[in-house]
Amino acid sequence: MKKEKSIFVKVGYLLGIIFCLVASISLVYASYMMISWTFSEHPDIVYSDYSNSYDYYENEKSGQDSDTISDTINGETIMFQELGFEKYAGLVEVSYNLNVPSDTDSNGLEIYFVKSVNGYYQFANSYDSIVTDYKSCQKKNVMTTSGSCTIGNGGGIIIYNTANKPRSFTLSFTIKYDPSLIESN
Amino acid sequence: MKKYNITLESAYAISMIILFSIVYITILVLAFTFLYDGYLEWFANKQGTEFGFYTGIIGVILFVGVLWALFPKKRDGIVLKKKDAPKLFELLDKAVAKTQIHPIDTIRLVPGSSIAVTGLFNKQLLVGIASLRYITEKDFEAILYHEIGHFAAKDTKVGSFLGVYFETLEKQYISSVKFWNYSPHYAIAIIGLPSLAMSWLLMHLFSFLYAPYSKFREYKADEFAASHSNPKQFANALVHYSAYTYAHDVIMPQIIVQLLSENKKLTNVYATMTNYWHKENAEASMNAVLSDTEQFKDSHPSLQNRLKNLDVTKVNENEGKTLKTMFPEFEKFEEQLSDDYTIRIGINSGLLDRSTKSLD
Repeated sequence: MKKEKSIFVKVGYLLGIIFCLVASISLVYASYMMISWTFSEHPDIVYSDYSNSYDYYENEKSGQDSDTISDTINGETIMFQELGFEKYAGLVEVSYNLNVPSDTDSNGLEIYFVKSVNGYYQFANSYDSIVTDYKSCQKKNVMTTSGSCTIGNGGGIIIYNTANKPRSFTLSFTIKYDPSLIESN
Repeated sequence: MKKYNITLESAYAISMIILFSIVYITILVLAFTFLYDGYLEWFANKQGTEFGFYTGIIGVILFVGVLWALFPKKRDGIVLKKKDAPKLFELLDKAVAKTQIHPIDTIRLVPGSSIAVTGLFNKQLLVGIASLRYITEKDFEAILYHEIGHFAAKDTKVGSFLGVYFETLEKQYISSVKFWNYSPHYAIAIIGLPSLAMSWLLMHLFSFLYAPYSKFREYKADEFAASHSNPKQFANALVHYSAYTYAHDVIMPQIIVQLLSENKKLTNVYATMTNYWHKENAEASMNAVLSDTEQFKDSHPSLQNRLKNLDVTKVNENEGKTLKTMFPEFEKFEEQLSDDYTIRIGINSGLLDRSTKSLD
């Protein structure tokens, strides 16, 4: 009564065993990734640290404004400085200059420009996803850098400390705009 | 020192157990990760995946499925005592002694027609009460050896392990379907689609992997039965038992559904079946089971293939005393299990709620 298994059956079992083992290893890896993500640090969502600290309307007639921010970011934090106008029918050009004190470490300090406040929300929620809004003007691990970027309504600059250590910087910037494009209520 | 002979089949069974244990753990991890992501978004104001609203809901659906699966199903049927069917116990003792397996702990009469075995530690023989009126003592003995063959090969241990995981997947699927059904709007219902798709895919993967293994275990149990009775006796039992249960499982649900829709029920489903077991139905059932073709995802091989495996081409009439003669009060048991079968059919047909426990 005992019958020998055909070669197809043996190959079928072998393939099944290989499939089960490969799938098991993949799932263990996926579980590990999920557990790692769960226990990784999840920084607070900071919508705007300085959004109310700067009033552009004071000098709106000049069509150009400048300011400097010096600060230290403790731990992994996202700061957002709004630079545009709430109601502005055009684009604003921002020239900036960022300096990190020479006796400190800039590793992990990143800056990004976002054209609108939505770009900031996207960044804050998933900073590693592909969001073209802030990719064009990004700078990472900067010590001293300058440049310019164009933003729109509600846009601004993001200063992101990815390191879990304090990072100090000085950011000076100038914005150029057309006062006639500022819409009054 | 005990020697273990690892065959390809046992290695495959072990790898399936490993895979579905890890699938189970992954579902748990996924449920907790999604719940945590939802918590980050809703309550902690911290950065998560950005999709915390959706993942939180999916996490809840998965978690409900996992929790639900922890509550075991109520065991159907009546546990037999020796005084209920002394001859059946004698027959079982004889078969156990002949095959030298560890004794079977429990015989349970269950609604319906299936004869099966189950149990990880507690060996149980399940006898579908519908088979008592038709199957002969000799045929039952041959089928008993087939079931003992499953115990001897430890198939019930593998089946019990995998059964826990399959039940979890099944309950994940049902909780996803319920979320879909009870969502007030499609825009909300669609959030549960990933968990519905995942549980559906995993259930099918499970069937896909388990079916070929299960079929080979059935062939082995057939060979075990044939070697302990004889191939012709077992083949005869298999064919007649299959034909009767096929007729029962086709005819009785139709009658029960009809009666339930008129708010009526049968007091003894199994006695009613004898009225429909006439020559035409018997021939039609026999033709149906003998011509049935095997599908890849079937857990059992087709009858044709099983007969071919036993090298049996001709089947005799089934003659002799039926199994019911071993039960002094078999009608009492039939009536006790009649409502259980009716409820099962009512739930499957959607006429009764899943929580229905009694028809009184």
